Amino acid sequence: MDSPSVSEPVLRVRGLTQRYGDLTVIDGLDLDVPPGTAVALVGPNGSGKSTLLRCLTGLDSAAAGTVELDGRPLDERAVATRRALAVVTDDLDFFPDLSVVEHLDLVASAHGVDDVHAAVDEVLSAIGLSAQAGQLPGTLSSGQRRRLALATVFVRPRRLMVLDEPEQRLDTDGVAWLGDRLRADVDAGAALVFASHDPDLVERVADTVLDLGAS
Amino acid sequence: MTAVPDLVGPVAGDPAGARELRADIRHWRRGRVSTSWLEAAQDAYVAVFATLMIGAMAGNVVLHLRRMAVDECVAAACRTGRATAPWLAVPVVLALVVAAARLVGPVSVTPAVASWVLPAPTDRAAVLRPRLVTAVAAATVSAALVSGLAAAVAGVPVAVTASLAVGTAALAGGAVGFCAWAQARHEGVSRAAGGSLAGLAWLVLVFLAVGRVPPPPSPSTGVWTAALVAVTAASILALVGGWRALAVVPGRSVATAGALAPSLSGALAAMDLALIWDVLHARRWRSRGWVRPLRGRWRGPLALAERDLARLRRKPSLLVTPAAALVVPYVGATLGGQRVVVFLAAMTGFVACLGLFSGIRVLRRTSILERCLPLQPAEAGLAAIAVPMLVVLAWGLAVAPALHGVPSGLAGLVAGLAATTACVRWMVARPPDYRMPLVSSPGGAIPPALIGALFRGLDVILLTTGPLLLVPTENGALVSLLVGGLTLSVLLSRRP
Repeated sequence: MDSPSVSEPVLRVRGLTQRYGDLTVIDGLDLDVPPGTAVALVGPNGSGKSTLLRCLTGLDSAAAGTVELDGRPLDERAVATRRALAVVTDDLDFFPDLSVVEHLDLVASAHGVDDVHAAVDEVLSAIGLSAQAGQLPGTLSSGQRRRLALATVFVRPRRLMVLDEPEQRLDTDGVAWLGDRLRADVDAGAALVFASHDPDLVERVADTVLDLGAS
Repeated sequence: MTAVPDLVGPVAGDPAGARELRADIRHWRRGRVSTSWLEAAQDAYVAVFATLMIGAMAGNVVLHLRRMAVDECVAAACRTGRATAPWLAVPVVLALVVAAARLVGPVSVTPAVASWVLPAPTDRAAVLRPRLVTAVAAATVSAALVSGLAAAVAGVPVAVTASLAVGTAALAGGAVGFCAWAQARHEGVSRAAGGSLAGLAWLVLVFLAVGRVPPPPSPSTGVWTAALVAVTAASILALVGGWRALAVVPGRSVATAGALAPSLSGALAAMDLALIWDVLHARRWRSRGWVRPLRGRWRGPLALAERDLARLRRKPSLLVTPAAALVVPYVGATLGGQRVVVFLAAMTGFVACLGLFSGIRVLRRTSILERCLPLQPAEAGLAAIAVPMLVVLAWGLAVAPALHGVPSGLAGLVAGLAATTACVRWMVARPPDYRMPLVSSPGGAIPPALIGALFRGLDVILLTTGPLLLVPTENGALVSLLVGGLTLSVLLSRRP
């Protein structure tokens, strides 16, 4: 694998520790993610991948340590953080009365994307949801809902992507497309941290692999 | 050539009947009973004692209200309203019964029965009959109680109260039977029936508002008896229709209605009323499935507001309830409600316009959607309520002429703002937190917020309209607007 770029990291983690009662899930983790770099988190279930991602994105408070985004403490409440950080975790929620394309229009418009319709149509087509553009989320299959959540990442500007098992519930073609798309984004300068159980996806996308299950 | 058998697999005789299946289930449950007879008797004693105590207290309250109504509601307009109320209660109760019946089926089965019993070659009607009986019993008892209460509080004679209660109960039972028939044959018919009943109630309100309500009937005993017999006969006919239609009711229909039960009962047990709204909202749109996409054009926070415009364009019927509810404050004014009509208007606006605030509800029930948007909480919140708030404020101005005794334009704005704040309060409230310290209650330990959940919305309406109610002047209205604005900004700036 290529060595990461030496430029200033987008994401800097120092001494991150997370505990659940007496159980220490993450112990003093240091991590730098420069622009144009993809870091994959691997390890068995319960090894702390999702916990780490939730701490990195501010969804959970760490017991100790610091997380910085572009040199500033990461505060998921700050607008600047939301502009830069695109997150997809396992928890999905949608407006029951807005269609697939309307969700994407909303996210792209809120981020001030120049040509919203073109950007959304391109992602819809690429992610294989064009035929479901008018479908309401309640009737989508779990794989389609996952695609929709991933599409919200790609219709908006992003500096750091944090994805928890993005390949989950996608079919083979979907995973292949996702790998290409993520790699293209990273090559274009975005930073990526993702947890995955798919060795092919990790091999294809990641510059650095962090094995949380290794003793 | 070898003959192909009709069925493959183990050899089977006649399928088990519904009665046998029920007996089996009862037998299995009996084997798992963990309550002794003594404990059951103690529970029964507590239940009977509590019912008597609460019944006595409720009876006292009703008698007190009845005395108040008779002694204090003596103006001609008020007396007319009082005399009309029991009759108005009949279509209102029936419309509610039809709405509730359509919501739960009225015939529904639990997901377990839908998965295990309905696919079996048993007599489906026999499985469903007890469900219909339960629904009919619940409807008749509730209808009798509500109708009897309305008549009792209005101060009408006891014989009329009893006749109205019995008649409404019979009609409610018939309405459930009719809904069961419609569930099996044409579901749209029950919707139309519910709409017609609501329309009838609304017409009575309009007549009340303009002071032209015809005097309620005061029939002789013979006519009462004949009317009750006719109503009961019609209801029995409807019930027979529903009973017979059970044999052909689609399994999908009874299973879909039953699938709601676990979610609704869970939300009710936690007194999370907004969660009930979530379940019903999601179900309504899931049944629609597809929509014609309305592409967004506005940028930044306005994109959220544009979605609310799209909602109104997609479902203009969202405005029907607020439009119909405009009449209520005018009724209050006609009946001599004086300054209290501001409070009544705010409450009516709150209940009627709640459905417009679905955007903020979904945005705030978790942090998932909000974190996709580069907006401050207050900014996102304000954008998500901008369109509904404008509608509710316009609604407030439309009822302003009914708000006598106070500067009416400002009072209309106060009513609109109070209703908006109440809707937002209801929609963004957090569910009861069972991790916090609990307080003891006769029903066991409960989170303190559980009791408040019932009065959510009412609290901010009292807070906002309070200054105007106490000081019915321009200054009072301005203070009310200030209080309402501050409350709204606090609610919007809270994070999910």
